[in-house]
Amino acid sequence: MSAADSQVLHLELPNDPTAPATARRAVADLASHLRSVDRADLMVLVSELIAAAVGERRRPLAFAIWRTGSGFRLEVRSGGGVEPPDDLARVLFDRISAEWSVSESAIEVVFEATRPFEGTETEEDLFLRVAAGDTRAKGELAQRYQGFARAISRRFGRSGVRRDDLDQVAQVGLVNALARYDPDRGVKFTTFAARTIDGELKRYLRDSGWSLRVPRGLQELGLEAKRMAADLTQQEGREPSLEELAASLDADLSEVGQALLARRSFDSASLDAPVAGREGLRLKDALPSHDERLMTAPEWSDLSLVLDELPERERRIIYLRFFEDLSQSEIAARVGVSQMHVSRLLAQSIGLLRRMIDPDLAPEG
Amino acid sequence: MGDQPAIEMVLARHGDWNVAQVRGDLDMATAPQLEAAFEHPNGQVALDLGKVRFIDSTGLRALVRLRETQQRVVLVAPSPVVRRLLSLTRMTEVFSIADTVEALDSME
Repeated sequence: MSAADSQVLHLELPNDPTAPATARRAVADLASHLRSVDRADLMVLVSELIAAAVGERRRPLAFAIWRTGSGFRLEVRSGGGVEPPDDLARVLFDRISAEWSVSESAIEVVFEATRPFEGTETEEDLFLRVAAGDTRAKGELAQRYQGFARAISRRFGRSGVRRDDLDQVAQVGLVNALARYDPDRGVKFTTFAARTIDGELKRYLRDSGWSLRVPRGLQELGLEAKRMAADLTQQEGREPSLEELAASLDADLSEVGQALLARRSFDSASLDAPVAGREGLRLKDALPSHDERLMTAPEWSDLSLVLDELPERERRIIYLRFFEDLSQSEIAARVGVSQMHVSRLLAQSIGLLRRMIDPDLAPEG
Repeated sequence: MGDQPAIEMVLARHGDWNVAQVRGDLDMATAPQLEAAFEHPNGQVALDLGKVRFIDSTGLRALVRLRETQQRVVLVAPSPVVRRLLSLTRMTEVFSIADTVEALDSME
């Protein structure tokens, strides 16, 4: 707490189940200018915080909100101590915190968010001043939208790149968006910024590694599709078309295609014993490899076309990393080489695959 | 002793479903009422959450518990705040969600 902090709310609450609702009502008045989604998040934080403090000892709770230099702080004090939050509350805290930059102090239950709670200027004013070259207004907006940028970078959380690196790239995207945004065009800033930040992140991933994620569920669908294809082949005496397969599975055509491609690419690699032979079913033939319907997931379908070019072990490592989502050390244990070696092989394979997919890319280094 | 818990529930039948239209805030003050309304286990329960203005982890936990004690629980038209919480906790993958009470008819 610094001397500049000022208290904007102080409540004595009864230590009973009505306390969260009472606190939320008080906060609602203070937060009426926040966007509704932010207000809702704030309400959840307040409610969780107070609920955790309602306990056996029935001492009154003191709830205060302080405005700080960078945001605001919620503070709950109770004579009876505070329950450690259960799993669900924990998850909520974590997820909201990730978007809000909330920090948690170990001693008191204090949450400090760097998102401004009581801004004095409207966003419209700020954007106009940014357009006029006001760097302070730009800084203010950059801070307000920090959590927004971070939320976008979280979407790339499984890309294998460190979270704080992604956050940094997202912040760069945000700053670029602020520099280029023109409020007169009638596009909402969040729409514009989301596009810019997303582009920045994708560029970064393309230049520095590989962005690829096989949607969960694709694995199961691939298995099911394979079984169904075998059944239908037996019934009809011929291999089913992709359409027939999708209809029988009651699944989306392009999803089935992707799932099959995924399986096909990894069929031999995914077996624990090294198997050289292909499936007897020739799913490869049932599925035209350049089917344009598969282009909904360009990265994935492109990749599956060139994966066969990799040596067995490298293909298996790629499979374990991106399809099974294992860490490098887990892969090392499975494959029987060091984690360093896995890291090296991954980097090599990824580089190779990228150049095969996009020959325009300059060679590494 | 603070304010009265702000929740209203309208119970109705729709086919094989016990439908509860919930209105208000679902938190530690009101969640027990929701659970109390479905004391009998192993029913088919549809919770219309379109009028829920607020929900926190205590409210969510009540839904999870109902899901465990009832044969089936479907959430109907959850309001934006409910959806937000469900997606923050990845519960969207756990609960069945229907757009309308009528849509319950076509659920197998």
